[in-house]
Amino acid sequence: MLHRFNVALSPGYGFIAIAVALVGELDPLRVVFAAFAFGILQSGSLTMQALAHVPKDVVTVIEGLIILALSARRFAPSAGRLRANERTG
Amino acid sequence: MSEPAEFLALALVKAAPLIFAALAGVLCERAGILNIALEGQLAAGAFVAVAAAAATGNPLAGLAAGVLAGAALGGVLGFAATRFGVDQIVAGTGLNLLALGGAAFGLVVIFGQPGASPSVASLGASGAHLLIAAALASAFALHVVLYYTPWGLRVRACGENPRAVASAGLDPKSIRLAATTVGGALAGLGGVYLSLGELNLYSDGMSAGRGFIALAAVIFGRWTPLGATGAALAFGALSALQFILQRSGVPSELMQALPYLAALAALAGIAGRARAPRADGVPYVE
Repeated sequence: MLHRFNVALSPGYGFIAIAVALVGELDPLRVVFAAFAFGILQSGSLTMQALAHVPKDVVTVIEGLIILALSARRFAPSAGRLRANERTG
Repeated sequence: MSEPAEFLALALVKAAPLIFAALAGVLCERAGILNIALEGQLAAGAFVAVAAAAATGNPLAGLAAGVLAGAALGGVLGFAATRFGVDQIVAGTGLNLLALGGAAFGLVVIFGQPGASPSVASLGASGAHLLIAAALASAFALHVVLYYTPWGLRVRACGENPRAVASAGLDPKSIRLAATTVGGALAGLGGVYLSLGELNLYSDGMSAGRGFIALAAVIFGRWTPLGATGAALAFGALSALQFILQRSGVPSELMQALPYLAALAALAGIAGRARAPRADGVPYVE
């Protein structure tokens, strides 16, 4: 995209990606949609800041709240539970 | 100061926030809650401390507020983990975003400027020294609490086998919640040290990945308070070394990677086996 490498090229994408993967319920197709939704939030944040003078960091807070809320879904195949199942057989 | 003394002093300065965060990590993980929100708790403690110090003009009020902010975040993680049985990694990631984004947002709302807050009344050099001493004292205190008190035994039992704790007539959920709240307070204190101890302001990204380095210290220290403190001291010495070696041309990125390499080495079984608490990160369902 930029044709050059920059150490700050990935501003925490890896971390958000963990959450995106789990928000997408570890399903390759649904992960694409989750990533798209987060992408919309991220790109919208800059426009929001420019047009409405709302700090773009609000979007990070909203992402955090979404992730926190979705983490409680009991049907999500959580890594913790997978490990627990392995143990109990 | 002579060069070795300067190096040791700098190592302690760099290690103190890592020690607080690593002790928080040890306490939470020994209780069975994986706290990857240490980074957010550091940032929340640092930011809220500055905001409160600016509002009251009193750095001690800032200290108290920062500790409370860390405890609140730890409590939210504990509540989500025990009441709703959340995936702790996802919830922790959410809390990290919430705290880091909230601090960046708060800078604009409270101080009217993005990036960094203006200078506020800090705890000063003597305050910073006291906090460094408090970090080392907390390590021994947590060691005593975990291994020599009934509550410590219950915490460790919750991390190994919460069902056994329940069958002994105790409530593993409230023990875990208490552990994450106290842990959050410790990490919040580490944040206060960063903003009001070492400096006198909050700046975005000031926690600088220390929460994650602290998680590496927990693993390298084999989930014990004294081990994790030793690891945090070693990582503090590494970053002090980084300052000194800057002139000799050793790339600083190599030094930044070393804590994670050390944690990997510990996990790979180099120099004895590293085993996480058996129920670490596993939600307890009745």
